Amino acid sequence: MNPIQSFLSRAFPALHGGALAGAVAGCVVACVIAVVILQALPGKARKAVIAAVTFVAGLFYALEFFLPANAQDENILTFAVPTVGNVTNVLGGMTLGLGVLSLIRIHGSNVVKVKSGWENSMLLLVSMVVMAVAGIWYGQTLFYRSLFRDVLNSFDAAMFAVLAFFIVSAAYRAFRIKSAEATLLMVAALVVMLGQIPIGQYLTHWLPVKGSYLSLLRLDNISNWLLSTVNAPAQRAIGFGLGIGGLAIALRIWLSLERGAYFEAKADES
Amino acid sequence: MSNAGHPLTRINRHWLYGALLAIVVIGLIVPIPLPLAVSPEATRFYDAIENAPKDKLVLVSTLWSASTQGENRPQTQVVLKHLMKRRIRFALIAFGDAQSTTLAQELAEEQARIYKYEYGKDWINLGFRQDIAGTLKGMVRDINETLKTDSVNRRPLASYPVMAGVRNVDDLSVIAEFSASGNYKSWVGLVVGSTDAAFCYAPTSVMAPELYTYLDSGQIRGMLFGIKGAAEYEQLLGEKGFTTRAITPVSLALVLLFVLIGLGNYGMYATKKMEGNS
Repeated sequence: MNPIQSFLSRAFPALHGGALAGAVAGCVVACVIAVVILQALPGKARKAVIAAVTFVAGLFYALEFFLPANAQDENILTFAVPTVGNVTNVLGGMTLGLGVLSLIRIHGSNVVKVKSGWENSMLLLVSMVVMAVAGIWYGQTLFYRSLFRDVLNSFDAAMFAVLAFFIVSAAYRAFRIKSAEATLLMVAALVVMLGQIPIGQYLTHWLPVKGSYLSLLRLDNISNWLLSTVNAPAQRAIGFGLGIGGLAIALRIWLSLERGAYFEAKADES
Repeated sequence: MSNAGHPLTRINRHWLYGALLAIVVIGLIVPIPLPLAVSPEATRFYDAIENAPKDKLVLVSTLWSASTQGENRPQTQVVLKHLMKRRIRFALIAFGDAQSTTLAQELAEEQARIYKYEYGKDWINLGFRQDIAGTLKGMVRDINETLKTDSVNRRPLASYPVMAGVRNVDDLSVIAEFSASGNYKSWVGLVVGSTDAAFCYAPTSVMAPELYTYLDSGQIRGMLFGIKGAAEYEQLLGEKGFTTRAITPVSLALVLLFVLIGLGNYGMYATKKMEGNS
């Protein structure tokens, strides 16, 4: 047990039963007080607090990654990784709550003010409440399973399946061969797609699979070659670009240099 | 709609939708019995499961919802079937979309009934986690400490026989992820370098081209290319189920796409010719 771990174990001993419930309740109250204080702070002070918390949170993973590890592949911070992961999971759960609140605020207002399309807003709110009640209190019942599998799953799948119709329509209307680049793209797409389906593969099935130069002309082999030899380097190049861009964005967010964020605008107002 | 241009540039979209619907329905009812060439990536995925030692656990990670179940469900199904046929212990885990854990659980229960797999002894569900990076980093060190309980009974993982001898990712033989997103980057970045377990990936078709660079480097051992990959896997298993049949409508839909692109372009050139003559 390293010194930090040892100090934390003494400061926060494991709790059980009523003590645990009390600690959880205390944490909830402390969080509410923190949010109230944050809301009461002037914009610039709030920004400074948020920037500090963001920096410390990011610093944990950066230090944990870069600090030298021992033979067990652990360093002084490694022990805290599961706990920090749990904190992130809890924060993720809170963002879900924020989403629900936002939906209720916007669609509740539509219903109360009887705005155009208020029926849809009403349906959304009722569906959300019914699904939440079913999931929380009737999780193992036919009621929930039916709502989840027969309604939600079917709607979700149907919504996605509709894309196929739009793709067919869009390809017919928009895929026009007007330049050498478009022709190249079209030929590559045609070969790759034909090489992926039995009907396309059947066109050259009479050629040897391997062991002969003729095998290079099989559509499935050309398709594989395009994907692994032409596509892979292009994807790698894109990946490098994305990686460098991602690093720059991550640094800007970590150091709170990103402009135009919500709290930035609020800070400027005050 | 404007009446300008060749009639082939003005086909009403409802005819296009109707043609696609008809082709998909006909393709499902009357499958075309054509052989499907098995790709090297699918073969490597199959080999990883086929050669997995029986004393180690296989981790099956899912990140898909009902929207992509057309591709991800058959992929997950064929691999679970293979695991159960070989009597290999496995654990489910889900990321990204909370639907994923329920859908994978239902699928595993369905297969478990067929292959007499017992929950807790032969397989387990580790549940859904929101934080991918933190969870993976924790699992590299200690799976039980990171995930603590299963999602079905909420009991400590260490109390299940299926988790016996499993401490961290070193105790896994294969990590198979079935995904509708780019989660492979987290696995490659945080886990693959820390374990000898083979990492295999099953994305949707639209995502598959992204993965060739990792297949090339060997960081991803095998891949199932959308539903076609699932059909290839089914072929390797020596079965001809729904997945194999589903390839016919996919093939016919792509042929329809080529035909329509051809018609659209022919219409465009015919229109230009008409305008040149007038």
